[in-house]
Amino acid sequence: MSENKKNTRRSFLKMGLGAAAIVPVTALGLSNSAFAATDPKAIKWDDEMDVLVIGSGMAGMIAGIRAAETDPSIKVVVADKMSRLGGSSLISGLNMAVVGSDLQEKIGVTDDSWELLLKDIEKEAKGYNHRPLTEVAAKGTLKLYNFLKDHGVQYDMSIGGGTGVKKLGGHSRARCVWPAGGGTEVIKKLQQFCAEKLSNLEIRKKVLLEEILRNDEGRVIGVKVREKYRFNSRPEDLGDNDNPEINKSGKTKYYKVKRGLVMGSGGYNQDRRFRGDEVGTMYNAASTTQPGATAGAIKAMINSGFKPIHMTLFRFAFPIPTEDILWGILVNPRTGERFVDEYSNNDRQTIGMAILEERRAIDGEHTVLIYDQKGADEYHDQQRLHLSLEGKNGTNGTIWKFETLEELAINFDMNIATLKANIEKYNIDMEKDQDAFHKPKSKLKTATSISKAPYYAMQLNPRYNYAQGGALITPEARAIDVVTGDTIPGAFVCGEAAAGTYGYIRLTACSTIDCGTFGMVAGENAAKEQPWS
Amino acid sequence: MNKKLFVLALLVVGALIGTGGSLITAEIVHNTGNEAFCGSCHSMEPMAKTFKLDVHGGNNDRGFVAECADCHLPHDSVVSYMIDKTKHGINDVFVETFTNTEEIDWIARRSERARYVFDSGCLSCHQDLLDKTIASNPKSLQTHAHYKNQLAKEDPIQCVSCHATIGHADQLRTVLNETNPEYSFSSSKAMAITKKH
Amino acid sequence: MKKLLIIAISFFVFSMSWATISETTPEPNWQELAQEYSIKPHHRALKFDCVMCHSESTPDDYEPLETEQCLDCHGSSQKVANRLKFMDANHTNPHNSFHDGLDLDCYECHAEHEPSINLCTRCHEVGNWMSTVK
Repeated sequence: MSENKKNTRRSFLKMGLGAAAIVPVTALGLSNSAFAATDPKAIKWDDEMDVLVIGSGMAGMIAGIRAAETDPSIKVVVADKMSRLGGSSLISGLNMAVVGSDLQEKIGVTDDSWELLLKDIEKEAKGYNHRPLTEVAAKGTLKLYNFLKDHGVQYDMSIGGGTGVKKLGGHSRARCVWPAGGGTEVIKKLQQFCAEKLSNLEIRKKVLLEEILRNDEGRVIGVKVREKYRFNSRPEDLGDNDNPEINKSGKTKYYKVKRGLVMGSGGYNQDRRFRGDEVGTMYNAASTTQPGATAGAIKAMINSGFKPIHMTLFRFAFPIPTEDILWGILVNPRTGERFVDEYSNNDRQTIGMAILEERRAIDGEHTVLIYDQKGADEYHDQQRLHLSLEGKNGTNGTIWKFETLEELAINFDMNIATLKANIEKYNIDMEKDQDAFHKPKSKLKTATSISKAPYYAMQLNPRYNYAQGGALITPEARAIDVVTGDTIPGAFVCGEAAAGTYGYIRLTACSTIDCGTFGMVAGENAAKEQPWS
Repeated sequence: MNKKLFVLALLVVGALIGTGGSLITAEIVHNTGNEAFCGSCHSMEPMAKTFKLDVHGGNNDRGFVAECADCHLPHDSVVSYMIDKTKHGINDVFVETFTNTEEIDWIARRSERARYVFDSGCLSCHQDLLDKTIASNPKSLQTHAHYKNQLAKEDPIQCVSCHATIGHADQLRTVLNETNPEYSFSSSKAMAITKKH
Repeated sequence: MKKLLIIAISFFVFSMSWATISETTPEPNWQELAQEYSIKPHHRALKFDCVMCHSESTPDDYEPLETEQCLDCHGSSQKVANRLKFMDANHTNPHNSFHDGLDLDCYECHAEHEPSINLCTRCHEVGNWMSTVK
């Protein structure tokens, strides 16, 4: 493409031009469009609303609330295809990076800044991100923190040694805070706020988005949905639920959306086929996002011309902090042997892929991470360690405690002799800082051997828990048309459903700020759109 | 004295003894059917405690309190009532005094409720239940009509077939779990040494 | 001739209505339905049949139940949660859980015509929290 057009697009994004700047497709001299235009007069509308938000997780709820607050005279509907509201947010920890909070002030951190946060994020993004978008997230953290507080969310003061704020891996300042009770707290409090204070906001369950309708000028005018939809969590590939041949539940309805459609529909992590098409080994990865995280919404967006980006990127999550893996050793249960440097620069992708590859060789059996007491003592995140010991840390998140290595070996069907031999070898090599996998002794502090009872073990497995891929947006949360490159009038995307804020990896504690800041922007802008009819 | 007077005296004494005996029996029966009596045995404490929380046990705005015997003894005839009462009276005293009642699995016993909760008991108070045409929960009209239908059949269902937790405020299992936990989550050691499965 | 015509027309109309009526109201094969859509032991013990739960006029129209319909008999979410109150201490009462409180629909776990699932086990090990879901 020409240099001119590139610059136009970049400055377009920078200035964040709105609907008024849209040029109809035909005027650009392009005869084909990315979507099939709908004639609004040909549709028999079953319902109408000013703003329709798809998704009831953090992004969707915040978008809905901001839309309803921005204009109390408009009708806002937050629709979710699941019968269990809250998306993945409900079951997530939802820790969040906040620059300049009162909690940070109290512990004497006065030199944090959004620029520093941006730098931390971009170090992980490795250049894949679109900086104007990342800046929106980096700049909006304090506003989001206060928004949540004002809407009933309380923060957990027991973390960070009683200060309520922690320095997590990859962050150069102590700035991460937790809602008290994680995502459940956020979702329930926001739902409560809506019920008590926002009479113009309605939340609807079991409404599946099937199609996004745009008129011949490219404006989003409405949606085709199925009401009383029943998601089925039994299929091997949950993505089958988006296939109307397989899941036929629900009755078709047409909603007229007068001002704005906001897509807060999350990721597609549970869609084996969809993510497996992007990255082969991902077909078999585990995921602990909500079961409804399938590709239906992104497909509907693509089908109506929204531009998808970053679809091949993925992010592993471990139930324990990546930087607490190195204190132990990862072994193949059948051979008792190690297979990777457990430090690997704290790169979760490397460690995750190594585990998946090793598991492939042993029919999918789990590899085992073993600590001794010294390793447990070095744990950064004692809170997480105890959650695991109580069995409350999700799938493969449980850590078992054993008085002897013999007990440990029996529990995981391992040969005690080979295990002990391998541990012995590790201890000897590490003493000389000549580890077979080049694990640096300097990083291990006091945990330079596996020798002190009691022992701890878990079946460490990477979870594919964040989909960087999604619809490209502008800093105003507006969707972009894949053919024209212009914003799509009346279309907004926020949270995990959107893409561009992050890149190769998403820094920990940053999904919340993406969902929250763009949720606010999307909701406000959707409410301010001029109605098309 | 003469025969007539003797017979008369016998009759009078007999009547007095009979009346006295009946009154004493009635008094005994009357006083051994309520929560104060049944609940005085240690093993019955969870039952008594939860009964008091129930609408039948006084937790209502009418001041109404049922007795254990109202539900847990048959009321279809005086004879079956008295036979069961005597049988259980002897059994309960014996078991409470001479055996270790801690070994009784009360939680499992709850699934045998059809054996020791009698429809005649329920219906002796809820007399018009099966003939109602309007109800605060309209579904109950359908379900009670179903119950009535089944009475004529070979193996009828009972009130407690559906009303599984009636009389004890839905809390009996919870209170029993205080001393006999079904799951080990309450003990802090539990998770740390549980094997993987 | 007129008479014949009237008779012919009446016969035609009569047979068409008879055919239509018998087409639109065939008796459902209840035996077959009961076998294909078996019910859970605890409901079978109560001698329930299809119409105890399904209120639509014909089996062809039967829809999966909504939570409100289950609660017509099971009372309320609060009542159902109360029965497992001893699990509240651990926040693992499936009917009053940490994540969902009283908000879960029955069918998130419970199914009548196929085995139920345990929603909690999607993410958690529940061995010492609860028994099998009925």
